[in-house]
Amino acid sequence: MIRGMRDRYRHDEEGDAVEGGRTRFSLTEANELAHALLARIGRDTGIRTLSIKGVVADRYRLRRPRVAADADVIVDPARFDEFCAALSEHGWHLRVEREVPSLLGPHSVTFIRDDWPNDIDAHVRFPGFFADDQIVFDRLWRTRAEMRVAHVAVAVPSRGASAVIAALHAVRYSRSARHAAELQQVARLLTDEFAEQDRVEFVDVARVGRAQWVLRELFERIGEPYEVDVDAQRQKLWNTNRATVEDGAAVSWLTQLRSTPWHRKPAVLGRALWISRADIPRNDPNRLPTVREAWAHRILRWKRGAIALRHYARSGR
Amino acid sequence: MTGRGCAVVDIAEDVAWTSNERRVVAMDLGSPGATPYVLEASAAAVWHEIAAAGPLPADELLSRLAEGFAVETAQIRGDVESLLTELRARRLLRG
Repeated sequence: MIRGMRDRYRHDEEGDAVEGGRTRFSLTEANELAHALLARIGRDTGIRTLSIKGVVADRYRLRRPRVAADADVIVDPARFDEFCAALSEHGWHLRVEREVPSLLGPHSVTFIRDDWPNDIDAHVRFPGFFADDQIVFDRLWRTRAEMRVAHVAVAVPSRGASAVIAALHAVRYSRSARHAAELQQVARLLTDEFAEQDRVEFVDVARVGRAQWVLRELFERIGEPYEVDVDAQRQKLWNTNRATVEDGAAVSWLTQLRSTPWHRKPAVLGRALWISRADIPRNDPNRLPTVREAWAHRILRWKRGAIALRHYARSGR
Repeated sequence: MTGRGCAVVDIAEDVAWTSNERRVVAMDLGSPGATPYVLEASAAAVWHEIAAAGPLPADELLSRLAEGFAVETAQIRGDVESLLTELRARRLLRG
């Protein structure tokens, strides 16, 4: 205690928590520090990174501020693996989880640190951009801006580019009122508040990233012409993913099962239905779930899968 | 100040920190695997004073804090020195 100042400082009061790794800091604090750390790792390694979503969207007023569970960064695809290795050297590791099929393919890797309350999502691509990953990243990088986050300079996409990312994120979730409101907010900014150069930037990033068709409703709302820049097969994948993404991976498993040769279908079906204790997602790789926990996870998964397939059947696909 | 003469205190270059009025969370970015360090209340006030006025001599920091909290410097010297030592050891402060 600093006598006379009538209170305590945390390391005195809860020093064991700090030393023991159970630091008590909030998600907001953790996310800001994580963005600063990611920028620093990028600078140290010479790997280009851009912080996205979360604090970036909040500061650009692209959405109503809310506490994110993770810090998102998009990384130069050419050096993505190298960046992930560098992040690991800072104590961040992957959650234990098996690879599951994804309609649009994997787009990010989630890292955790046992003494931090948040995750870091390192993106190699952002869903909704259908151009080559490197082309998308280079376009975002070309017009990047800088924000001070946790008193550190952090590279971020321009406001127009961040609006594209915010809109792509919002349109991915077809049943979420919050995401519908966030899309509405981006539309309002584009029509009422954005300077002409921000609006031009928005349109160009969507054009180069081949995201015009995905954002067609937004383009219509703001009265901008757009091109259909995604082929029919990918349109179908996007629509199916959009209709089922909130239900987990069941539809992705079904899609994989359909495309698998007959002699391999039993193996795929087995993997879709059964998950071993060792494969159950968890933060601590050294702690195997108990038998009871494993069954609870499987039953929850089957229930979610059944709901997802019901949604899928109703959607007529 | 005792033991360090009149060292100049400042926030280290490699530090990321976030704060509100009552709380600061700081981290040394130069040390891989460093853990964020939480300062609350008077410790946060010390940090805020350094952030606002630094770099500044430790004696001046002490005077400013004493004035701000309406206490004698002797009352807080030991605890402030202890905090500064801790923050230097964690590479959050230089000087």
